[in-house]
Amino acid sequence: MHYFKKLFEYSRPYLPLNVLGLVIALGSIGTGVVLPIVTRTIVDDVLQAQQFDKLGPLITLLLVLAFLRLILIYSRLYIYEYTSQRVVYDIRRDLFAKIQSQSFKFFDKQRTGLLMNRIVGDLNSIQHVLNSGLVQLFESIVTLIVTFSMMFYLNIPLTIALCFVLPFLYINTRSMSKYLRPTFRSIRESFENLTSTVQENITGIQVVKSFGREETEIEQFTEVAQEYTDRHIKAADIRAKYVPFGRFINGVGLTVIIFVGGYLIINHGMTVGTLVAFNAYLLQLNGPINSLNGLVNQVENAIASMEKVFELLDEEPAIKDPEIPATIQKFNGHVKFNNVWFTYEKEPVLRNINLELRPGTVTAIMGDTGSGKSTIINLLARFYDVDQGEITIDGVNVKDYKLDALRKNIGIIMQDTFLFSDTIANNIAFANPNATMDEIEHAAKIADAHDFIMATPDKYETVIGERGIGLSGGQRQRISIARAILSDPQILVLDDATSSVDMETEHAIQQTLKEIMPGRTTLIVAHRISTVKDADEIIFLENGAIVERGTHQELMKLRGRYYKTVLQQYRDYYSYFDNDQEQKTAQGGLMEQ
Amino acid sequence: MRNTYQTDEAVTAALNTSQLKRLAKYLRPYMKYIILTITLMFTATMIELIGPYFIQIAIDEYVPNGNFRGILIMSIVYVIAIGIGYITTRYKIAIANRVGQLALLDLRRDVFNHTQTLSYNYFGNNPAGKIMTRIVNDINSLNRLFTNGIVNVITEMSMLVVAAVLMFAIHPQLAAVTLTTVPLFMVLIFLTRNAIRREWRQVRRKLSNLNAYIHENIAGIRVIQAYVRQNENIRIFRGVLDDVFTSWMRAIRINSAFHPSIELISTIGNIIIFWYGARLLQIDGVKIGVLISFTIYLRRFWHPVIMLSNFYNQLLVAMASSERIFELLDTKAEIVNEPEARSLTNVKGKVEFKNINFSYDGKKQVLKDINFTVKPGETIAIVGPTGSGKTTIINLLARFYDPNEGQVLIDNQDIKYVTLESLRENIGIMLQDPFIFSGTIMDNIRYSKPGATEEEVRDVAKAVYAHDFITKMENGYYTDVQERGSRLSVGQRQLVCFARTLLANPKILILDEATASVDTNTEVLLQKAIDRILQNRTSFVIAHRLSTIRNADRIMVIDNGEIVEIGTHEQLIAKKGLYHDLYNVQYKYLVEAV
Ligand SMILES: Nc1ncnc2c1ncn2[C@@H]1O[C@H](COP(=O)(O)OP(=O)(O)OP(=O)(O)O)[C@@H](O)[C@H]1O
Ligand SMILES: Nc1ncnc2c1ncn2[C@@H]1O[C@H](COP(=O)(O)OP(=O)(O)OP(=O)(O)O)[C@@H](O)[C@H]1O
Ligand SMILES: [Mg+2]
Repeated sequence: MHYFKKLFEYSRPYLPLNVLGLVIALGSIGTGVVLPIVTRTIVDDVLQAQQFDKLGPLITLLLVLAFLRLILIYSRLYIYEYTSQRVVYDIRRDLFAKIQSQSFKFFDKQRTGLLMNRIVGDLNSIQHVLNSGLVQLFESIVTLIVTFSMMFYLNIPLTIALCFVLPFLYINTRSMSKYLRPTFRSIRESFENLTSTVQENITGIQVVKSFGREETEIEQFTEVAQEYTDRHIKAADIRAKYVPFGRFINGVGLTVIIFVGGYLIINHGMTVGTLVAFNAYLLQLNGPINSLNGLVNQVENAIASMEKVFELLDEEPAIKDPEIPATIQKFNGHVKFNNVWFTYEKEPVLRNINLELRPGTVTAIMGDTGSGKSTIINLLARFYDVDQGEITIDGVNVKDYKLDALRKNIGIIMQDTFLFSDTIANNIAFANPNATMDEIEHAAKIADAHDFIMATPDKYETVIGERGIGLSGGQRQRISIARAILSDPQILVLDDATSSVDMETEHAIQQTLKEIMPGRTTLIVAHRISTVKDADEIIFLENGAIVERGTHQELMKLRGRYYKTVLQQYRDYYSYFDNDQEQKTAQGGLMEQ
Repeated sequence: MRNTYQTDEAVTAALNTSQLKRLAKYLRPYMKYIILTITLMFTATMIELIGPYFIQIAIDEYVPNGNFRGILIMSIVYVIAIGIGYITTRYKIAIANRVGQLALLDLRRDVFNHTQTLSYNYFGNNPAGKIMTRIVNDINSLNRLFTNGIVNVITEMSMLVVAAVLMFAIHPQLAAVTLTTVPLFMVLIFLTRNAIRREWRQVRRKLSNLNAYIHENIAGIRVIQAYVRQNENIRIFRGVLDDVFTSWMRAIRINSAFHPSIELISTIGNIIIFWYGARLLQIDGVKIGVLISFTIYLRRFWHPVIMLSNFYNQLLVAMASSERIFELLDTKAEIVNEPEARSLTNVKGKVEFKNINFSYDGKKQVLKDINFTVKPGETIAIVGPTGSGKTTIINLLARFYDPNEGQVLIDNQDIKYVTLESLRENIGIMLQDPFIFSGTIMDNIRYSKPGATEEEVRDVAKAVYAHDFITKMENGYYTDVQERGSRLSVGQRQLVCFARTLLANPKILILDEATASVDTNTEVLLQKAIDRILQNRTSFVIAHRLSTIRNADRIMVIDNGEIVEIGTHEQLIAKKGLYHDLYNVQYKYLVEAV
């Protein structure tokens, strides 16, 4: 019921139109009643009674009524389609916005295919009910009331006798809806499975192909598709069982009438004509009984979807704007982590992190795979909230900033490069769609992307595929760097942003980045010593805790993890050189520390 | 041309009848059931017609006579009749739905199977959301057509024929006059046909765009939030929704007119009959009874006409989906097994590129005249600036694309004439972009070799130093890593992918920046494992961190799509060419670093 109330709220703006639709529907029902009467009059009066002079006017009337009916039905169909589509439009828009506002945690657990269904598929069944449900209900009820009043008018005892059959009709419909609901729910679930399976298969198609796993994928798909089919068949079986049963009950009602009616005629002098009329009315009831059953079907189907749709609409994002946001719009970029602890699942991923990033400085984070480097960034931009401790920027807790303001000031180049299927220019201008071509080119130049962009067929207007298909790994990373630069953030974060870029290009990018860095706070996560060595502070992370910190010089003296890393990377290069001179210089460089 | 959510798909419409035939093909295996359904339907209809007759007898004869026994008998007969009616209707509904669903399943399976054969290019040029739409939503929209369409057509057709025959039997002239409305139907159908198809096609396209947009937005949500693009995206989304809405309402505008128009035409038909009947009565002295029974049959005549017209409309709507489905089914896979393809067995591992030229888009030449030979068991490192064509070489070797010119040979066999299955069975690729499926880590590693034991999986995980972090997770190897592995750090994803590639134990191993996101310590450890693994295997290693290629037998330097140098490390250093420069550059940064 709660869901219907919500649905009603969405329908409210279109209520006047809906009412108009009902009035029109009433009109068309009216024409539907009058038309046969006119036809009968023609047959009875004109043809049978041979009053041919009446033919002209009656035919004209018929024609007028038919046209009227055309217009009424057309308007009714159009109005209901319009209003129901409008309502669905509004819900879709809100759902989309809601999904966009959810936190990362939400997306960690959700399947894309499932969310797509929420926005698209689930709303279709709701639209069906909104579209024809109301009119159907209305039509059926009107017919029921009219028929029943006629019957009452004709003979009260007979009508009362008939009322004994009604509960069975009710029970029939009730049981159908009871069995249908879980079935529709399971259909919805298996539909989600189907979509998710297809979605994952398509997005991972290169892996599928490279391991020649097409057969397995087909098997898996067939399994979910089969399940989906089976559940549909099950729902059909339920419908098949209950829908025609309504007619059967009605037929039984008819025999009851004959019995009681026969008794009444024989013993109480009821006329045969009454019984004949009753018979006709009862047959007329089949229409509304059928359409009510159909309606129950549609409604049950819609409920299965509504539950999920409104549940999602009700889901508050875990990370929200504060009640009273801090007023600062432009940051200085003084970041502080105070005793920060964080856990995704059970094990703490960050343990007591203390950091200070000052404007105009570069901080570098190194550390093992999975030690929590990206997590630090996720917390800084408040993609997740800390468990303990606090993160402040310019002295204000990140939780007290409006999310938009916070994130607009932080430009993150994520480790996992994601580009959109759009032109290169639009990808770079992602954070600021109004950016001029000059700004875009400038950002591309800093990211050392301009040259290769100019070499593509349509230059900046080249359309790239989803996730950047059409570009090499290193090219994608550079577009994503350009994207961050264009957003002009006070705090710039590079999470392993040049891992797929060759060293020369990386160096070039670093040099140009230096030009824009002054005054900004920079945080770099990297594995290459060459990337981090110039940083004002280098943090070494191990299993979520900071084990070493300091400048390059200080850390070298420490002879700890950092030193070891330098040695490892150094040795790699060192071993390559045959040139004695170069070897010596290299060795010398190391020994100096 | 690359498609995005902003571009409508161009559908090259096939012929109507051939499309219908193809759809019908899916129903053919169920002919038996369809015939059964039709029989059931006829039975049910008969009972519906006859049933009231019993009641009639009861009312007309037994009630006035006070014959309770008669009433009882007739009632029992009636209840039995509607009982049978119930059972036939029930099975009609059940069977018709089963047939429809199973036919849809067959179609869906065909479509999915076909997508699995399509080449990588297709997936690169079409948004995932759009491909999904065809496999899932477009097929669903054929549901009604498949479950009820054909059965209804056949029953309605026969009803129509029966009614027409009866009408002709009663009064041929009147019957002929009735048919004068047929041209009206023709005109209506002719006028609306193209518009209905066009508008619904547009609707399907716009829905497809919608799906594409939503899909990409969910997939890229992290970037969207990081750059605070929500409002802008909601604005774009509304634009996409507006398109769907507008196209839908345009289609509805025509569609809604269809049904009432048919009704109007039927009324006009009635009017003609009345008018003509009146004349007949006046002039030709036709009996009134004839006319009355004629009008009764007339009603029986219009009903199927209306139903059939509606069916026709439904068919046109379904066409908008089916043409999309068939278009996908007709998309030729570019990379297929040649007819004379043989399977690649007993691979030694000699790889040869002969005069290869390649371009992805026919415009920009990506590989130019590539020639090289790799001996069995040799390890080749491919180095070069970003975008120089390293990954492309791999794409050709695994035959994700075919070269425009030249040949790729494995053990002297052109891979074009080798079955794809056997080719990829022998090649193990660690893709640059580590893709993880939702499911457990166990499933993910095992993906390359479904029969692998848990022991084997653990062993490869240990070999790539992933075992430790895996066992530390909530459920160890059975931890659910979620879509695209969002539960893992990027480096961890890479290690899992690495393990997956190794488990396949391929003859030819390709590592495309396998350790780009892995920390130095793990990398050094891994390096030892890799060296061991690479022994006796032909392997290609792409890396920017040159440490990974330390033990390569030969190094191939690619620049701008050309091989500029190839040789051992020593040779290349001595040559003082590009490799030497690359090296010096790295060295320089290192020294600067240290
Ligand atoms: N699917 C595609 N369609 C069109 N062009 C492509 C496609 N994939 C790659 N390219 C282009 O081909 C060239 C070579 O790309 P490739 O991926 O082989 O580079 P790479 O040497 O592997 O680079 P990286 O080191 O960055 O991974 C690049 O200029 C790239 O833009
Ligand atoms: N969304 C998540 N849900 C649960 N656990 C997560 C999630 N993301 C990361 N983890 C876990 O948290 C730990 C830290 O991950 P994080 O991504 O911060 O590592 P990282 O230091 O950036 O590693 P890498 O160098 O591989 O990128 C890892 O053990 C990882 O498995
Ligand atoms: Mg990370």
